Amino acid sequence: MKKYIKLKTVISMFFLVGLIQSCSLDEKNLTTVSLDKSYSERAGFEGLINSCYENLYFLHGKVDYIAPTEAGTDSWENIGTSGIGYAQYTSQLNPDDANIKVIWGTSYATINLCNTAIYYSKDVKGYSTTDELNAVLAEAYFLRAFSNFVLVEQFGGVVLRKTSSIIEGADNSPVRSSEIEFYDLIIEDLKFACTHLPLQQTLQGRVARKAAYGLLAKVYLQRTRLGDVAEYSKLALDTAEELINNAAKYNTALYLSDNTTSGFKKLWDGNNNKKNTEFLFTQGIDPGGLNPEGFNRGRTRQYYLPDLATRGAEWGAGATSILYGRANSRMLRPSKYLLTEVFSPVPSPADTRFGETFTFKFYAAANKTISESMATAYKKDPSVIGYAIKNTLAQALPSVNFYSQKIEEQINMNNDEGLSVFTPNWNIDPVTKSKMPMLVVDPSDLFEPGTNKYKDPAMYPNDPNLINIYPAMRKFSAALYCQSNQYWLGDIPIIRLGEIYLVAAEAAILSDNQTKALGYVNTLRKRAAISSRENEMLVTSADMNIDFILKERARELSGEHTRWTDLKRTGRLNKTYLDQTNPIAGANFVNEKHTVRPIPRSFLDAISNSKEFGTNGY
Amino acid sequence: MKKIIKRNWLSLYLPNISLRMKLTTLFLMLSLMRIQAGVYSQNTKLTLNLNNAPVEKLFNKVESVSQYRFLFESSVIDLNRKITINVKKKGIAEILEEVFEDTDISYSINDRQIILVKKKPQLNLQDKHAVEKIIVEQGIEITGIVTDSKNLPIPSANVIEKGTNNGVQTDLDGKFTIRVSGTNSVLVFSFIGFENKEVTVGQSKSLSVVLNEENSTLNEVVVVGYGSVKKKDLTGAVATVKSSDILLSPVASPMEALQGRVSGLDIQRGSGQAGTSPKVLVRGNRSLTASQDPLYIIDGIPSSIDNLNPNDIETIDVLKDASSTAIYGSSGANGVIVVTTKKAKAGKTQIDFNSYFGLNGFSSFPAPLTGNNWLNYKRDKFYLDNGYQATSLTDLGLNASAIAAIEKGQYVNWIDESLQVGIQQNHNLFMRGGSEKVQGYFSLGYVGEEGIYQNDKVNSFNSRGGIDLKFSDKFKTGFQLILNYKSGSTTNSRINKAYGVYPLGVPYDENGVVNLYPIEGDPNNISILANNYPGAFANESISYNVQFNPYLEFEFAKNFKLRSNLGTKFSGGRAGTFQNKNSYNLLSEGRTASEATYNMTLAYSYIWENILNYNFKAGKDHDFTLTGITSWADNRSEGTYMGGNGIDYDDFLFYNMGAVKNLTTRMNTYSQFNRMSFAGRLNYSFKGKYLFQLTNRWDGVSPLAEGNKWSSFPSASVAWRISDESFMQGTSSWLNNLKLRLGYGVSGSANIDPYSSLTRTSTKTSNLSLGGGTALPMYVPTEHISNPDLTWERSTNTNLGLDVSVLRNRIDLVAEYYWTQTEGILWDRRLPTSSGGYDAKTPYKKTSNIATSENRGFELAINTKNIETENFKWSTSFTYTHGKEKLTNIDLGNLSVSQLISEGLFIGQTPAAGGVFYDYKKIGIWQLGQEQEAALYGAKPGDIKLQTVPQIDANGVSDNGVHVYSTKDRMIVGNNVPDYFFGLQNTFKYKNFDFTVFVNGRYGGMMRAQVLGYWNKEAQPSTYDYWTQDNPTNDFPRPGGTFNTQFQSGLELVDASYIKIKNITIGYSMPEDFLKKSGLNNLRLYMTAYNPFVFSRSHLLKDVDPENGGSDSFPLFKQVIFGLNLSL
Repeated sequence: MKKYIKLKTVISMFFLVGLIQSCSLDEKNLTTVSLDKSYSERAGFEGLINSCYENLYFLHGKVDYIAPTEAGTDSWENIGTSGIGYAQYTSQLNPDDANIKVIWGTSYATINLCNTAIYYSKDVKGYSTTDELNAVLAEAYFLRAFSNFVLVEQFGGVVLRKTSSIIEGADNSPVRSSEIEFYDLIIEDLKFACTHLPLQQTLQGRVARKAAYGLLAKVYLQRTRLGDVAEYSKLALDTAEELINNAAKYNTALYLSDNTTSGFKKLWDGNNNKKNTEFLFTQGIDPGGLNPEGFNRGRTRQYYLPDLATRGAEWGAGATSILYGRANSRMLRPSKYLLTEVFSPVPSPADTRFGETFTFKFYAAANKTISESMATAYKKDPSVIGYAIKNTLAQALPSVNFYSQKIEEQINMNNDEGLSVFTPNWNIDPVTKSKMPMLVVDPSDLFEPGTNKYKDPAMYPNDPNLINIYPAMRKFSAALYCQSNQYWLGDIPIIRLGEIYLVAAEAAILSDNQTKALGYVNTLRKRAAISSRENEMLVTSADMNIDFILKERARELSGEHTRWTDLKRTGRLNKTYLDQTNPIAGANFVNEKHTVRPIPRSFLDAISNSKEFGTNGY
Repeated sequence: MKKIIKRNWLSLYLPNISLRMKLTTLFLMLSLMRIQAGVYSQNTKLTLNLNNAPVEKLFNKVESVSQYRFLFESSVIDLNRKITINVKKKGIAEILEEVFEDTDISYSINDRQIILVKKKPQLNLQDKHAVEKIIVEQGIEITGIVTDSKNLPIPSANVIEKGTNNGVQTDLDGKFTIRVSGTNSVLVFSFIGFENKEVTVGQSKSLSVVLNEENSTLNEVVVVGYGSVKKKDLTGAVATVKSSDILLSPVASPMEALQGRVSGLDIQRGSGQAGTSPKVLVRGNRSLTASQDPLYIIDGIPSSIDNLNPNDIETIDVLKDASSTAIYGSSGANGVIVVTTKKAKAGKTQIDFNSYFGLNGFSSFPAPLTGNNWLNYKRDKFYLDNGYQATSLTDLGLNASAIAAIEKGQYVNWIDESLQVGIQQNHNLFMRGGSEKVQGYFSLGYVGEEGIYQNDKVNSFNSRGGIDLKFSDKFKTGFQLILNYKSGSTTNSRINKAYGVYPLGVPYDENGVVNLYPIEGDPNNISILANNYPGAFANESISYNVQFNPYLEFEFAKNFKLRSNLGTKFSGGRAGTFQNKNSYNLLSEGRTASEATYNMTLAYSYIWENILNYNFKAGKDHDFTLTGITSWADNRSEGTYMGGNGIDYDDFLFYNMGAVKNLTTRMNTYSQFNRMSFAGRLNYSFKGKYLFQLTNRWDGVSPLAEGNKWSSFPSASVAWRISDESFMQGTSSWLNNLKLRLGYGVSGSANIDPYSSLTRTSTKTSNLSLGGGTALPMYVPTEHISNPDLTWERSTNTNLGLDVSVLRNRIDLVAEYYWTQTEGILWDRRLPTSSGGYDAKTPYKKTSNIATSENRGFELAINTKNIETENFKWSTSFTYTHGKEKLTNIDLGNLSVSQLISEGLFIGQTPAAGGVFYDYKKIGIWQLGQEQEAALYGAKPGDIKLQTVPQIDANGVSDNGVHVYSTKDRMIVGNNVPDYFFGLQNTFKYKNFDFTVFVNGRYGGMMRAQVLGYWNKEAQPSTYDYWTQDNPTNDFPRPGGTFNTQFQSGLELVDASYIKIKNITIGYSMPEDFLKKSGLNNLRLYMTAYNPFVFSRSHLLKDVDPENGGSDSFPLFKQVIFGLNLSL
């Protein structure tokens, strides 16, 4: 008996103790901390500021930002159905489009993080002075302004958010603000940034004061499209001049030409990429892979490549070249207007900008002897049969290629011994051309005479189809930072000083100060040539008009994600202009509709007032 | 809590603790405090003093003072008969002899069981004493043994010479001796719960008779939550599957073997990848985002079924309705699968060895076009893409190397090159035995599965063992120990790439090594087999699982029992990947730096449950069982993830992350989940005919916010055994059972992710450095925005069931009708992106209870014994399930369901997987002669013909659907829920042969077949019948052009109906004399063809196994296996 009572007591105690201990239903979360705790400390606050940059890495160097900023302008045509919605304003440009969703998401994600940082700046501890805090906080103001600038230009007057959804909750029935309200906030934010950002930052990807001035100048100029031209062009000019006149103070400088190398060439030289004096706002990239999405960066070049995989490969070119990129997702090719009217179609122009913007000589990745059938198929002179195009592929020095991989243009470069595909923007007479021992495609092969259109191969059944062999836009792809045939790990300039000269010139023209404009234009033009040919570049104040500036911007900034907004600002984003310059872009263009992008469906689906909000007419 | 202890016992808990805690705590306390120690004796000699007491009282008395338990049909024994007995230290036999001396009841003592049966009328002999007294003086004497199918002796079985009153009973070893009239005599063997068997004596003097368990499942014990009942007393919808049916399928996952065997249980294998677990759905989809997986309870402990070797399973019970599952509260709504594993039994040591070995493969997947068919196809495509004829192979996109390969005729079918025949095997050894006091068992198993790709394989080793110890009549304890180890490797499915490359080249070099560049001279054409290149690629994982589950059982008083279970679990795994410059991914991207990832996970949990059970009778007709349950669970998991690139020596694989130059991924995970529960259940039976059950469970969980942590889940059910009513007497000759059941209950579902009710700051690891080479700290708000109101999805279920058995249980039918309403369905509402997002591509999410769904269904299960003769038997099982599901309401502001199409907001699978297909509806191909009409839609002959959605203009005028096709023509084309599905099994036994054919099928529903998604690819499948001027097909449009590519997603949607002959098994059991000679109990050899024949309703799916929805990664395959079952 006794024994059992004891056992029973033990058992009851056991269960009791167990039950009491069990009562806690609080779980621990050891990998996160509370919002208030994390953001009221300096480390957490700065971690939040850092995160405000992250989403912008979805734009530059990624497919989502290329067509929406470059296509559908005077400069490019698309290939196949890739980018067709942007390039030709077809039905593919609709609320379901994936690119606009990313641009929209990037902008609003950044804005919300900035708003969260601005909210917590009231509580954060650990800064000895307000100035010290404001120098950090100004980054959030700058990034919010940049994101709102992207939004208002792509989508027009959409939702202007000034509060954090984390703190104040999400808005389920958001309303639109006017474009002017957007600009007001952008300008206010940038003024704060111009005042408080440090003059210099350790990391090239972190914004310093020069970025704020650069962006503010661009914003003022772009604001002129909404009226108050005199006021805002003056502000744009003043802001641009603040930067140009005090370049040293803001740690920026144009690359200038010498006798062998133009300043423009230096600007894009891989060796200057990571400490580029001309970059004002930079997407900073770590070649070691510490980037959002790791090595998957800098993919711009593959969308501009010609067909190296079939036609090019027949002549020895490599389809998955480390140097030129992987030709598997080709999207944009230059328009006739860009190749032959913006750039001078002459063999050796003083202006180096065509040569530095485009690859037009593709070198062989294998030895290739020209066969009789090749000569026949490409209508070559029999004299080229048997000619051996030499392989140029070899191990590159680390100073040439970041990963010491085999790339083209390393050997057999004398007198173009290894030249495989040649796509000049000037015409070569057919007889000479047929005797050149390589695949040569010039504008006469590409374009229908008397039009601004590419040829229709169906009309030329007896000729080889060469319309996919064209010069490749090659900014953001210096040899040095080629990591693979898809990834390039150089820094990408988002705003650079050269553009600010053109902002100043355009603002000066709008302010009727042609002389001033000419000064800035000529400074920029001179450094596009080697110093001995500078004089060939000079223009006169008679040239100082918006059309000239637009062409000059194309020569200077092609591929740099400004073209679509440039046309929008200057009133050239209309059917008449596009029909003249690049008819394929003009064919479907509707003036009232296509100056803003559709509103992403995923957003419209998530709000309760999608009908009132509207799709921007799509 | 501490201060409460100072109070007196009675007031303990009462004032401060919520009501739900009170009841069960009280249960526990009472049980612990009130019960006095009983008189106990191990001596089987009994002392009884009863005066004019009912028989029932005697039984109760004997059961209370000894281990003896009485077994009888209540209709047979007159429990109220008054008896007087006064014995001192006498054996049970003597007592029984005295009690039943002058009755028609005979008894037999089987170990501790006392079985009381009515004496057979023909045994009602002159001599009223037991039948063994009968001796027939003349004739021949026969001796023998009666055993069950597992070769265990059956004591007290009746052995009667047919047509006479001559009979005996077997002894405790199942042995008997009987004198019969001659060699023509027929002996009839019978025993309760077993089928009668007749044997002609013949020349044999010694008989060995095996009795088969009676098919009447009524006396079978069915496992319900926290206990078990006899099937006849069941009030809920529970289906049972036995081990023999599970072992019929040669699959690694036990659940796959249940496919088609339980009505209402939809099981589909989604992938042919080795080690894949099937998708299991009980009674349709109810949730939008939450897991629909049922709860698996293995031997009382919530566990994963993936660690079980099918050979270790004794039975699987599927709890379908809420009256059965509500006892599991917040995790019961998806159904509960209760698995009972094989355990020890006292008595003879038993050794079983089950083994099979076979081949996986013979997967038919369409071959890509090759040869001239391919070139012609490319020419057709080129013409449409470009509007002019190709003049050369170069125009077709072929470079010189490819042209050279064509000239050499080096065509390759990359599908064939990708697939192999794998090996499937399962070997399992099971041993059990023990004495009265100590019983033990263990099993060792190995399952090896090789898929149809090289390097896709899983090896798993399973071991389970346990010991039960009986210290005394009152106190029993034991434990179970489970060890699992699994290692596997996998590879990326490349089937989908096979149609995107030239069907050209030389896949292997002369040494049999993969040619990385199969087309000579073309460095851009990378072999899709590159990952098979030696050392190029590895994706290997290891996992382990250790479970130690001790229990103790204490009986305070008769029928008042406490069982306490502790389930502890410690598991983890490692996954490592490696790829070098020769791997497919790196080669195709031109990268050279070797990459590796290394992940470790660790999970540890325990669950402690106490079950208090008390049953008692009030008067003659009222049976009560009370069950009280407490449960406490604590689950935690941790993980580390690392990944990077730049490894100098490939020898390291993923084992030396220190050699990784660029560590790009580094993160930890941590998760904790606590649950506390109390539950109570009352079972009441009136006269065994009217059955009632009431349950309630209170669950408190940690992920929910304060104030919402606790929730209760009640249920009630009733059953009426109509066949037991007196007015049904007349039907008893043919109607064995007729029972009506009605249940109603509420259960919860959706495992709410820990931490989803609160926004916090997480550390982001996307390696932002702003160009500096050092990752910067990033602290961002978590993806989930606070929702303190979050709570469980609650499913309210009503179930109406009917059980019928007729013709001596030869036809057994169970029908169920149910309707379920699920409220508060969780939806990760994506907040408007203008409010920002976790990142640019991930909107913030707020998990909210915002939707309601409804499920209705009808289920039928029929088992018949069509032919039952000694040499030939034929039985059939059939299950049929028809279910409908509907999302009835969702509250997303002002939006209706149809406006939320791009959110994928349809009931079905998780929206990402796409249960409802919103797409273009193909109705054919435009043909020659229809040019004018086609032009109205922007099409030409050879283009896809779509059903259009009429558009209404600003003036309200409809275009009647006549317009150029556009995205506006997408519509709901169908969904993937079948109208019905069924399983049909026929089993034949002829002498020692057995033959089983199992067929299952699904009718209705639609699927998105990836295998139909290769139209217009580089080398589309040769099975595609595509339109040309000479081939006016309606299957596929002409390849090429930009028109059809916009609408090609509509080509993938097809009718998903199919019938499959899932299993054909033929077996042979060795004859008795062979077994005797070799000293075996049983030896059966068999062969199974698994998945051998598939018939799809859509002709487009000919030769494709549609079970996985036409998925192209890891297609399903067929199996042929050879196996043996051996018992010692």
